[in-house]
Amino acid sequence: MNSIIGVDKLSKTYGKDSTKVEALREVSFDVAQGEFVAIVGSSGSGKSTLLHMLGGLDHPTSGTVHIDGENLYALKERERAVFRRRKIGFIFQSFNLIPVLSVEENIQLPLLLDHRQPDKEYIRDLIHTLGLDDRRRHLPSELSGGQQQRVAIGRALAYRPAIVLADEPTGNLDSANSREVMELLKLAVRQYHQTVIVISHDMNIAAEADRVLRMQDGRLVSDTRGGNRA
Amino acid sequence: MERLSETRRSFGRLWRNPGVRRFAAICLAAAVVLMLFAWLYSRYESDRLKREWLARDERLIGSLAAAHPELAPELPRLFVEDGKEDPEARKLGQELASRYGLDEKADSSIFPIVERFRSELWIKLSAGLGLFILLLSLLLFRVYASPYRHIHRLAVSLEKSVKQNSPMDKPLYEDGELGLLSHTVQELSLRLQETISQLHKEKTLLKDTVADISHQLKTPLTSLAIYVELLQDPRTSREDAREFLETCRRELERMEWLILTLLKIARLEAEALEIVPVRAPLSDTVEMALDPLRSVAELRRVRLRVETPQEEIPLLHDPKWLSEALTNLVKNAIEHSPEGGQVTVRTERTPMFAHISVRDQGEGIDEQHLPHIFKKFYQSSPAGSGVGLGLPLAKSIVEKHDGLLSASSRPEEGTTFTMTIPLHRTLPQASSLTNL
Amino acid sequence: MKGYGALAGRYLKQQRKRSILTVIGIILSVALISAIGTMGMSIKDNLLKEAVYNSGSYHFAYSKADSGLYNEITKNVLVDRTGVMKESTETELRDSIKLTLNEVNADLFQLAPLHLASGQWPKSSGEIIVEEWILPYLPGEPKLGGTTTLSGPDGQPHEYIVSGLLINTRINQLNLESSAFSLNGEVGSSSGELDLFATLKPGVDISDNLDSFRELAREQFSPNNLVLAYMGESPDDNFNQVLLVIFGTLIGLVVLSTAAVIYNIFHISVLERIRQFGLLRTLGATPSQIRGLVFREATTLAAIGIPLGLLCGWGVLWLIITLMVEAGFRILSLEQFELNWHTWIMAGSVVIGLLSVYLAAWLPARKAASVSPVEAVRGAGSIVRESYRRFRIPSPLQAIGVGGNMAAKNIRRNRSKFRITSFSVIISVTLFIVFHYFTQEMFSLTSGSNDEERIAFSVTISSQGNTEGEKADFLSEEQIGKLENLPGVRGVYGRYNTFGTTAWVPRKLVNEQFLNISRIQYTESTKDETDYSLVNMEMAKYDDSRLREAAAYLTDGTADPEKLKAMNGVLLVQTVKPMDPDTGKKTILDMTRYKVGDKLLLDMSSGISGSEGDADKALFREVTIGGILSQSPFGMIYTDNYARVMAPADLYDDLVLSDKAASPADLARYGIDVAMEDGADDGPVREALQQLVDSTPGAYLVDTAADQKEQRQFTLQMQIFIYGFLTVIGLIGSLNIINTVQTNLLLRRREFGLLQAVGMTMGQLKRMATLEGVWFGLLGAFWGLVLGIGFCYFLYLQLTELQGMPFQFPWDGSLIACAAAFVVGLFSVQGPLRRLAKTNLIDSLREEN
Repeated sequence: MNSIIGVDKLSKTYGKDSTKVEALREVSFDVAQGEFVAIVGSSGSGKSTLLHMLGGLDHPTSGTVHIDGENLYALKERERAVFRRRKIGFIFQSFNLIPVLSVEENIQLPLLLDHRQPDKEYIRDLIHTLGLDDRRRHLPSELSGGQQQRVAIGRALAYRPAIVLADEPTGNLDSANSREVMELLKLAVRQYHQTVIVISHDMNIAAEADRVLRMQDGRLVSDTRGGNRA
Repeated sequence: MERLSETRRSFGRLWRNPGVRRFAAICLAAAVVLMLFAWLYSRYESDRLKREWLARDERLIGSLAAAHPELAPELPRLFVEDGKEDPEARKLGQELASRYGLDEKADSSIFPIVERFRSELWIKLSAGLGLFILLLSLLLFRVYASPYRHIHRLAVSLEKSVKQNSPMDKPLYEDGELGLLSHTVQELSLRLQETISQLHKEKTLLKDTVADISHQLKTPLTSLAIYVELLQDPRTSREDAREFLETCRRELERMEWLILTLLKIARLEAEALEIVPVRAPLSDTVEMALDPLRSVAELRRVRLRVETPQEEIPLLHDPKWLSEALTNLVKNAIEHSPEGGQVTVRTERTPMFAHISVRDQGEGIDEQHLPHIFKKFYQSSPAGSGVGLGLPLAKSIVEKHDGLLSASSRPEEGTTFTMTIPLHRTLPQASSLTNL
Repeated sequence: MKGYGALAGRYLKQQRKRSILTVIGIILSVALISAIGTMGMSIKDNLLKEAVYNSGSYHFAYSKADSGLYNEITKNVLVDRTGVMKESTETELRDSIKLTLNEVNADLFQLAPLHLASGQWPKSSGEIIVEEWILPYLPGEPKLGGTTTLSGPDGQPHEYIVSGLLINTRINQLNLESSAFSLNGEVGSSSGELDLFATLKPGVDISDNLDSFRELAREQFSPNNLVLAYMGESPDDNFNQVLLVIFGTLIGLVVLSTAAVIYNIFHISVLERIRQFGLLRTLGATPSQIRGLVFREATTLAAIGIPLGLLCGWGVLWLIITLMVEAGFRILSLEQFELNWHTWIMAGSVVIGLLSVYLAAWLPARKAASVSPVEAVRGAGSIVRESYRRFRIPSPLQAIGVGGNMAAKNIRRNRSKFRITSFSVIISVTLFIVFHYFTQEMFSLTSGSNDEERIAFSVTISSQGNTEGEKADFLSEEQIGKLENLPGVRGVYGRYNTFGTTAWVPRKLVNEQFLNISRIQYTESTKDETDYSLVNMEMAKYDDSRLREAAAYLTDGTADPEKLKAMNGVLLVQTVKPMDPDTGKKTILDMTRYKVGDKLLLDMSSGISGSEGDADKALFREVTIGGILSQSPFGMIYTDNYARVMAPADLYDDLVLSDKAASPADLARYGIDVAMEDGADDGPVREALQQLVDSTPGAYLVDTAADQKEQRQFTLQMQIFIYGFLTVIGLIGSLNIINTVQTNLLLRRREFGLLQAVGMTMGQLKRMATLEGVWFGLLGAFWGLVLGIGFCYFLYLQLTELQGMPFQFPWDGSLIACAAAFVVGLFSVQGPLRRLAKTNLIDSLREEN
């Protein structure tokens, strides 16, 4: 199995002089395709920054990120945007959806950005699977938190990006919904061979993953496998 | 899967191609430049025409005035008159002129101004336009050729990918048809790779299965052979012979179960066996699974407890297979439960999934064993009666339902196995990569 | 949804309120541009028509020309038409009225300022046209179409048919002379002095070619300056340039304000959605896709707003003008009132509107596209980091309790939003002040009017009617009273002789600038240690009715007859309009620097027994200046170089009689002027006056009612245009302010909800918002004033190139604008506040932007 994500000596510094903050310090690791990885750490450890770097959202101060063989930051901004569109799916803790679009339209959005017409059958199936049939035309403001996250994941599944990056996806959810979300992600890994990276401060969530990376003060301090689950 | 919208040609789609945009920009710029050039040139020419015309008028006025001084003051205005007002005068002039050979049919060469105008105009215009179009073509050529370069790169990259079975390098990340093509081709190559690796996996699986069968069968076969030899030996006593026969029978049973299960797993993995999903209440399936085990549970004095929600859970599943999986799990749980213990089978429903969990109060599974329990023939403890195939089979069955089988355990606290199955259809087109 | 582009439409539909406010902003701006354009053109058209009416439509003329010049002109290829006029024989009619016959060619009737009242232009040499009032005096007393006998060009009596009648002019009637015009096609080739009037062919550049025509006969050449100026073809390059600068500035101001208003709303709207744009970027939207979204929104809004704006601009103008016409400006008829639709103005407004919208959308689009996705996604609202470095000027708002404190902090925090909002207030105020100033100055520059133009009839009595020494006023007070009560009569004023007097003006009170421009040198004299200049002034006798009208022109003091009598006071007009003989440029200024309450020293010995500057021989009388007028209410608005004093009747008599040699007969009223109300029917009045004239020997009626109506028409139209225009600007400015304030408050619903949740009461909240509104208003008014007055001064510098004038501080405009901005700002806060009070707290908090 080849590594689909390759991070090499990644560093990110904010601010200057007295207000300087080193969010990431020479972080290096590889992720193989199909892995379910959790990144844990207390707040301020740099895990969010790392995720943003992986997704090409922000420029690193030094170091490289290779995704699927492509040096992410050697691309032009426009190319990076298209890359992101086709290869990376994001799920945030909150505010994932465009408020003016319905559930169906939110899910189709990456496709539409790529100027493609979605297969209506497929989308309908997906919504059905997500258990959101009766909410198809609703706006995000009419959905509960759990439902919104499901839509976000649906969006990630609709376009089948190679990598799914989730930043505290269960942060705002109760335990039942959290479980749903995690199981959906795991299914995605298993069925679509997607690579999922989840950030959490909740150890229970981390336990669901195949591999746990622990961050502290901007450094990667441990890289373990397993847990008390199979 | 999304589809590229097929036939409808839309201008928006065309416009998204950078090449088309560049082309349009060049054309627009060319048009502007051409218009500017035309304007300047026509101004220059009309100025020149005005000068020559004026010279001609002045000459005529001079000669006329010299000959007829009384007409002199009228002449300038006459020469500037529009001529629309006096058709009579025109007719008179036409008659007069044509009498002396001056009419429309006359050669252009006798009109000096016209002649000069015509020849110079022709040369200058064709030269100018020719040059312009030449330059324009050079520019446009580059724009036109650019997609071909990209296509060439794509072809090279695709060839490499096919020959070396490696992912395609340097795809195009841009909007427009080439970008889409590049993306789709890349997906194709990825698919290809995955299919190949899947095929490899299946081959390996087959190899493994054959190896497993042969390995697993070797021991019992050897022991069977020994026992048959012993039985054939006249020295064996009748009691011993009966014992030996019993052992043989047990071994044969075991072998049969083993082969059957292995084959089952193999067929499942190879998709030779179909899962036939129907929408049926889950509780029925649970009942079907627990029925054969009730007597065993009673025997070991383990209580079987079933927790189901009020409402039925209509799950799309194959009850035969799922109950078999559940039976395996519960059997395992019963075997690992202490006397007087309780095994709880619990079903619940969340918006997307149905969960079936089996919890026992046994001694639990050690952390170091946990990642491996779903591996074939893995025995975490010798207490199990099975061959070590129950859990892998259950896992296969659940995964064929697009579900997940997970286990969590704490030493001294028991183990919980959870089957998570999507409520609605199977995840669209998820199952096999060899399915298009 | 067919494509992600539909997102733009969704945003607009979702944020209905904000979209509507934006569209309103666009509508207002485009309406303003088209209104200004239409107005400007209409005013110019109006001025041009007035100039053509008064001066004729020719481009240039030659006086004292001969047939040789005529030939040269007519044969010139650039010349279109040439009119010729030759003064011929004079016939004396009864009552010693002189009628001069003029031979003209057909073209002249089109080029000269002659206006037919009835009938037709002469078609043959046997037909003539005369002024209407001459008709009864012609031999044979013909009617229209009848015949009369006059001395022909050869000196012999000829019979002529009266084919048409011209509108009466006032001057001719007063001077008892007139002209008749007969047709003579060959007059151009005849001998004698000719007056030539020529126009150039259409398409020919007039201003470029005038010089070559001037060369033909330098001394006799005179271009039709006023008309050419309004056509934009003035021979004076400076003038054209100044016009260009002025209009360029005005249009530039408007375009700037348009773009600013639209930018304001757009910017805020985009800023509020920056998180969503960030989300789109994380989904993989390229920067140009995001830019495209913003531009799509802009285009949709423009597509709705611009046509509506055009309609509104036109419609509102039309509406206001109709209202004004109904309400008070009673002009003759609405058809004659022309509000022209100029296609190119509308096209120009559309183009400018589009440009403004795209300009305004460009920066926000770039901003939306370039925001780092991380920032946008991460930020929980934008927390502006306050700079601790700068020393902060404490805001006076902080003194006003919690509300004020919060208001001050809000303003500091949302600095850019606040600046944008107050910017629109500033723009509105500035625009109003500038345009108010400009229109007022331009009006006085071009037409200017006083009550003289309301006078439709005059009745005078010839001197033969009076016996020596008798002070007999023409008409008794009772008769005058009866005339005043006739329907349609605005006032009846007495006509009196004027008295030329010399005023001894202290030298320091004489304006040197005036002396420099006019090149006048006054005789100097000394009396009682003070140096005096002897300045000639004209003193007029004003009865109570004239004083009544004069009150409208006061800049200081009073025109009340009682008060003037008490202080022995007179009215003074010291503003004059001298012309610099070298440059030909006119300047308006005060020739003396008198103030109300000063004493005016008059030497009443005038004329033959003048004292010639000898203090001993002078007959001194001292009067008090009771009131200063900005211009003369009657007669010439400004004179060249002499001041005018208006004395109440009794005082005048007293002053004049100081000179024992004066005759009381000179004091008598020798006639009346009758002024008509606008739109009144002059028929009955004419009849009554005619009866009066018939019944009084020696009395004589001057009828200029028709002409007066025309002139008045121009003035009224001009006033309507200007006031209508200012109203439109004021309206649009106010709406702009309301719109902006509403938008601002609308966007802060969440903030207010938060404040309420934290514990602020509704009352405190209202106070805070009101204080902010007040602060906007004040700041906007302040800066608007500064900018407005600055621009006014700049315009003044340009205008003063055309005609010198003093800079009049735009008090009126400033006051109106500031007060209005303040009040509008205050009230526009109330509405949204009330709505805010009613909304559910939770809803406001939950509202995602």
